[in-house]
Amino acid sequence: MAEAGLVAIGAGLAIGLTAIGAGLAEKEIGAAAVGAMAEKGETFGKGLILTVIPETLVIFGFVMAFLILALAE
Amino acid sequence: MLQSERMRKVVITVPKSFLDKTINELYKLNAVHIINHSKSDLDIGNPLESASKISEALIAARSLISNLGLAGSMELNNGFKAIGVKSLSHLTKSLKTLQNETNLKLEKAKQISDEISSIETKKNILFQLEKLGISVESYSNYSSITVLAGYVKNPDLMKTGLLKETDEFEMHSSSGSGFIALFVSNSFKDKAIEVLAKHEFSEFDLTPVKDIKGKPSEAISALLAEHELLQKSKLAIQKQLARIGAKWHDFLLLSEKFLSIELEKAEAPLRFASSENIFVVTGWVPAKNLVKLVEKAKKTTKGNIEIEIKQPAHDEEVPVKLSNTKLAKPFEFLMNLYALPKYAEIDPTLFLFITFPLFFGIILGDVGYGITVVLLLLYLSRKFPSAKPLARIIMPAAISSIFFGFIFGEVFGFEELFGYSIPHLISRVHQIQEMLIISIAIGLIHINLGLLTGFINELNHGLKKAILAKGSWWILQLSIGIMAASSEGLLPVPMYAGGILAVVSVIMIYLGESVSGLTELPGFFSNILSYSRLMAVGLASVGLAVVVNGFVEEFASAGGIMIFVAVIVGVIGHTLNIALGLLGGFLQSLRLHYVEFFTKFFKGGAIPFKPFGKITKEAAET
Repeated sequence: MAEAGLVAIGAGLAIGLTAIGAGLAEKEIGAAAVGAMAEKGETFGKGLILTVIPETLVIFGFVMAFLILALAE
Repeated sequence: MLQSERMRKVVITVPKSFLDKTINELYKLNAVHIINHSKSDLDIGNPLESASKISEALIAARSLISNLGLAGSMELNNGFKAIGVKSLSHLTKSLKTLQNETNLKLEKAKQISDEISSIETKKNILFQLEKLGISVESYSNYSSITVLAGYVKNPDLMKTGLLKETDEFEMHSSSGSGFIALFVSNSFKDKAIEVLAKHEFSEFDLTPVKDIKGKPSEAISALLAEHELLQKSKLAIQKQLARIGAKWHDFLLLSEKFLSIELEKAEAPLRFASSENIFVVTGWVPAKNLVKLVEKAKKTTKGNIEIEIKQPAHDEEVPVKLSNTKLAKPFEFLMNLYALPKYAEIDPTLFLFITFPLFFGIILGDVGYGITVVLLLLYLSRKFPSAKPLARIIMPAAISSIFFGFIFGEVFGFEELFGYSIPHLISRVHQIQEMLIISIAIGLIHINLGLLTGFINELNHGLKKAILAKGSWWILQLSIGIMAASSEGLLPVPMYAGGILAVVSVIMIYLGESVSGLTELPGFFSNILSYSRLMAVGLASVGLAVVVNGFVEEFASAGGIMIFVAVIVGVIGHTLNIALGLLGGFLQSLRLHYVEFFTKFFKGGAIPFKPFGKITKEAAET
């Protein structure tokens, strides 16, 4: 039972820590993108793409969380 | 559909005598995107003679509109007739007369405003002097005495300070406010100022009241009476101006519109090439409008015209006008938000029209939420017509939400209603693994659709380039499939066979897309994994709905007043969740297109097609 708890914590860390990482990265990109958009509205598309690039981190974390949870079964 | 509007380049040569008529005809046709002529062996044309007169009248109309505070926009139908004048000079004359009339009134209003503000200054000074209780004239007209009035921090301390220097002064102060009036002999003026400065003196200018006599209180009541009179006449003038504004509202707005159009026409020759006897217009015309253009132009110029028609050259910058079916058209908005596809590229609007609602539905798949959003959109687009373009994009998405709600068997987060479980094909709450696999499979299909589109786009640069740049990714996927299958023992091929294929594909990618292609290698796999958000964001949305429902059931089972609380919690909770789901569904779905899908084929960056002519409502929207 204790092991199952550790697995759950591991899965939580996988997604939580990657989310923090992505957030930290997106914070700066987002600020710059909004700045660019204020100057030039057409940059919305490019700005959105650049802003969401770090999101991949969470996706990896998410997949890892599932792999870890599969360990518990 | 998958192509933007096909264009033809036209070079129109007309004798100068037909300049006016040709410009008018081109404007009416509203079909030619004029390429501005840059000075070369042929000079640019001169604006029509009327241009300066028109711009003068336009300035008059615009200044009247702004001075009278008019706003709004009017449809202009038939030129001079709609405005109610016979000719341009008649219009200019009417505008000038009107301008003179209003200018007089505006000047008068300004003069009164100035007087009012000067009275207010005087009033403020007199209010201060009233505290000291000396008549107003005693502050001025001295030859040997200087009067200093203003505020100091502490009048008593200041007085003792000054007494140390001289006693040739008289000081009046009001207790509390720190306002003083100091009458000092001219010879001690500098000394007094020095002392005052030490006590943080801020001087009060008395010149505005130097002509007033008598007690301050009397002077104030006289000023107040004058103030009231001025206010009244100011109000009267404002009313007159408002009446003029109301009377000429339509005339001015129509004139402004009419004159702007005429000015654009009159200045059009600046965009043409011109010689002594002819002028040349170069531009782009949608192929479907070509016949009409030729026919009309010939008729207008009685055949004195030369029209050369060319196919767009390979490397030419062709303006792009998207052309989609009525249902897919609203999705052009999302393309404009990103970038316009180049002329030779496939226009992916149709893909957006199909896959955007699909992804949205998978993320927000709930019958209850879907119906709520549909009703909300119907209400919004009736109430706010400006929201219509966006509503037309979300409407198919919301309908797809309802559809997937049935597939997942969810109504407001419930999987069962009144004890009966809702039939479903797959439960995304309980079959997470399956949903994950489905999501990634969708990703695989979507990305390969992107690669296929890219392959077709690259065919413009030849088959070899297309195979190297895009086909290589298919070989890479195949090689991974072989490696996976052989490691599971499903294929009688050794694993290194897949490995060799993988190396081959990477080399091809390098040859096709050089280093930038290699940097996309890890991105390719994260792109496919990225589609797992279809399941993840959806699951989070269901999770929230289940939590809200849990609260509602808890409160409702307590009975009594708590049932009321349960309703409130349910409404607020689900409203928030719908808002989040809308935002999440919209952005995540859009992102999957912009980031994962478009990067496989889309280049974009074309200039939009802007025909010379009347700006119609539809054109103004895009």
